[in-house]
Amino acid sequence: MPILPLSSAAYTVQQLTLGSDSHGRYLSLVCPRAAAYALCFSSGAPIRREDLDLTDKDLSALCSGGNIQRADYRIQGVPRNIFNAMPVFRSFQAVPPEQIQVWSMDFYSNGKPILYVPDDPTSSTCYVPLRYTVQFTPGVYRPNKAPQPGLLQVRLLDAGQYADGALMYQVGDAMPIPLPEAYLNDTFIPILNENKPVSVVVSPMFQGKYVQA
Amino acid sequence: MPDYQERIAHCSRMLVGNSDVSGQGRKINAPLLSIFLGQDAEAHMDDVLNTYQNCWLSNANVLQSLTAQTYSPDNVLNACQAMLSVRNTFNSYSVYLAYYWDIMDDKFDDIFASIQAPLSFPTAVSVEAVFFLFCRELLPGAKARKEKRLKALIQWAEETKHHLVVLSDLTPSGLLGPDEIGENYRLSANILLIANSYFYPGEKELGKPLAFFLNQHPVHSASYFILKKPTWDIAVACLWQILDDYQRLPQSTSHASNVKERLCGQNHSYAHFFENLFQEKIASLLPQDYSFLRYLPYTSEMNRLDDNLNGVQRGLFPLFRPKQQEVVSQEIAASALQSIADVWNACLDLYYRRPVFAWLESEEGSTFIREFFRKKLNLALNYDEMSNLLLNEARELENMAPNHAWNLPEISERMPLHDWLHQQACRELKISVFSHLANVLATAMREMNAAANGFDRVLNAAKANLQIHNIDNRMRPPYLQKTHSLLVTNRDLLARKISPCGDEDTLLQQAGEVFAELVQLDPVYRLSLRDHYDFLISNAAPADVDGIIDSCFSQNMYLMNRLQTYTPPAGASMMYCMLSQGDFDERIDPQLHGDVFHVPRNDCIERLLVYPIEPENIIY
Repeated sequence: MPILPLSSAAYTVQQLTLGSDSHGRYLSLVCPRAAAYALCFSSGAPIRREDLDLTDKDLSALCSGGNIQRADYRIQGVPRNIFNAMPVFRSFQAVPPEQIQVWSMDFYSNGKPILYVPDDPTSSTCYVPLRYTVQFTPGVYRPNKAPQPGLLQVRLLDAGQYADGALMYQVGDAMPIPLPEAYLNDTFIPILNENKPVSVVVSPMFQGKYVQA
Repeated sequence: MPDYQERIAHCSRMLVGNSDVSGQGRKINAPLLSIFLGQDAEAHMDDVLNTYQNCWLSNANVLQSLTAQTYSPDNVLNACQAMLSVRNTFNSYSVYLAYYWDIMDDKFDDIFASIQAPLSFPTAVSVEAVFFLFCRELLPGAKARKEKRLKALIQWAEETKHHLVVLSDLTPSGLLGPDEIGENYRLSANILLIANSYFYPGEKELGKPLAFFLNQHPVHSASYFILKKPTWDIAVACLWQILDDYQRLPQSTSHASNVKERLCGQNHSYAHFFENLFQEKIASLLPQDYSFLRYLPYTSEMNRLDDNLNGVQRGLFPLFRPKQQEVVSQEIAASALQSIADVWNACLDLYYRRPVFAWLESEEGSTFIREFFRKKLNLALNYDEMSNLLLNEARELENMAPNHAWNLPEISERMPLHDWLHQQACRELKISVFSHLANVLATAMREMNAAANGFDRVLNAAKANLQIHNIDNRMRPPYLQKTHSLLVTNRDLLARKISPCGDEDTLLQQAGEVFAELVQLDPVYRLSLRDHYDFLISNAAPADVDGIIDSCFSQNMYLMNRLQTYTPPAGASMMYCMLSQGDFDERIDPQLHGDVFHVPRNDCIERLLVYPIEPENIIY
């Protein structure tokens, strides 16, 4: 099964850009020699070469524009002529928060497909983050009166798969508190922040996958 | 069958003391590459390297060696280059090659062919080489084989200007036994110690004259005599006593009624036992700054809990209410935690359970816990009790572990909210940690129970195989007694180091660990040769020390030769006496005993004589 480490600049995906406009998300890239591209979508750790479970038949299908679905990832194959048909490529769907690893493909002279996967799984990778907003209404603290907690509201702007604990709120310098999904969107979280600043941070395990809008 | 020889040899090496307080040893003159050719020579590599180590101490660490499998001109060059690149260890940067060659080996022809390949050293490096040839006379066809090979080698040496030292296991007093054959290797290494040590200005130079002497003739042989502290016998006696004392532990343990009480202490539960371990190793994994708990969602139920913890009463008419309770209401507490259940569990998981279980399941953590329980069980029970009691106890623990609440007290004292939440988090964590520990403890109990069954047979077999009855009767009682009395005062040493096991090899290894600690505890085990005899006398052992020492210095070295010749060695020869500085120097007469070569090791006196032989004088 020819899944090879990427060692040639001719097959290196360069200037990979994930953008969005009024028509939705798009991808653009430069790769001089690829005959096709494999877009690998996943939400966990980036996929490494040894994680791939693909047969020759799977690779042939990808080269022809097919899709492969596995438990931890899915791969969309895009022939070069289709990818380059328009100035940017829009025919893909991502469920935020996801990362897209873009790999190049080609054929041996006998027609067998090759997939080139770089050693560094984070290279030629772009992220489709889940966007969120934060609103905090400070509480009231007056001498000799029972304190009134402030109210924190965290909303997700995109329809996506939230992982419990990916977002955390932090009061001052104290350790951040993980947020389960039930505490997002319409829920107001009462926090006795004692006039200290309240912020929302992304858990180190999910860096890059969530961004504040 | 376990390798008793190796275990005893390992222990007996610990009994060699040295008089060099600096730990540096003698300085080595030039880089020395030792090449072991033939299976028997490889088997005695340790004899040679230990001889280097006992004289040159840490300096010897930079020396290199090769075997027939690794020998090649390139590897010789590489090894020498590696030694030459070491600074401040050698006095001269010429190279010494020492070949230890068992010429009776089946692969002699291949080895001989590879030895004849030329070595290509840079011209700036001068190379000295000496070949120690070892003959074993009792092998089938030994006579013809020895004659053919030795003659070929002598002819080659004469043609190529190489130098041979030929040694045989047939001595005037008979054939060397398996334990003594190593003496020939030690003798050879001793020759190199003298020839390749650095002699400081003012000290009599022995190395260069010996090296020059060896260069004058193609063929040499040597005589050897050693008077040494019986380290082997001492090691056997001590190992036997260690096993015997362990076997007697049943009479010396406490009489608490059951395993739990033995392990956890009187009136204490397993929760108490695990709590100690939790505080010792696990508590440090928890958040040290847990002020974040103060900022958990402040629901009305949490507000109530906070008030309850602070003893606050709210409302218009607090005076008409019942008197405030002194302790925290568990109902209010449960309701508060329920109101933030999702966040509470996420925090518990992230900051408490995850780091603790990551450690418990890591190699380091699981090994620590297993060893902790093993030691505690060893201290609490003798192997007889392990065999009888542990299986039932393991079953009880396993049944109890999954859903046990461990009777952990509710957190009912008043305190700030975040302190209370931290204690509550620890309490909830402990329930799962204690269940995990209970399962690990039960597994340890099962393993020790299985090992304890039949352990009596292993113990008895190991004691019998040590063959204590073969040990010299003069030294056996003092060392047995010494070891026993040390173990009586260090009883926990046995329990810490020895655990029931299913085979003699593991048991001997554990006994060896006890032995190593005893050697550190009491200097008697590392006494010099002279002090060893004094120790025997002070313990009423009949030892004619003067007679024994005299017999060493009165040996006729010309009769202690290690190669049969038609006429005894005569004429030019080099004689040496090797001993620790200050030991018996007054008894040495250079005319009779030769030059003195001081070595750090103080457990023996070695005498050697090196002399040339005419090839036609050798009896094949």
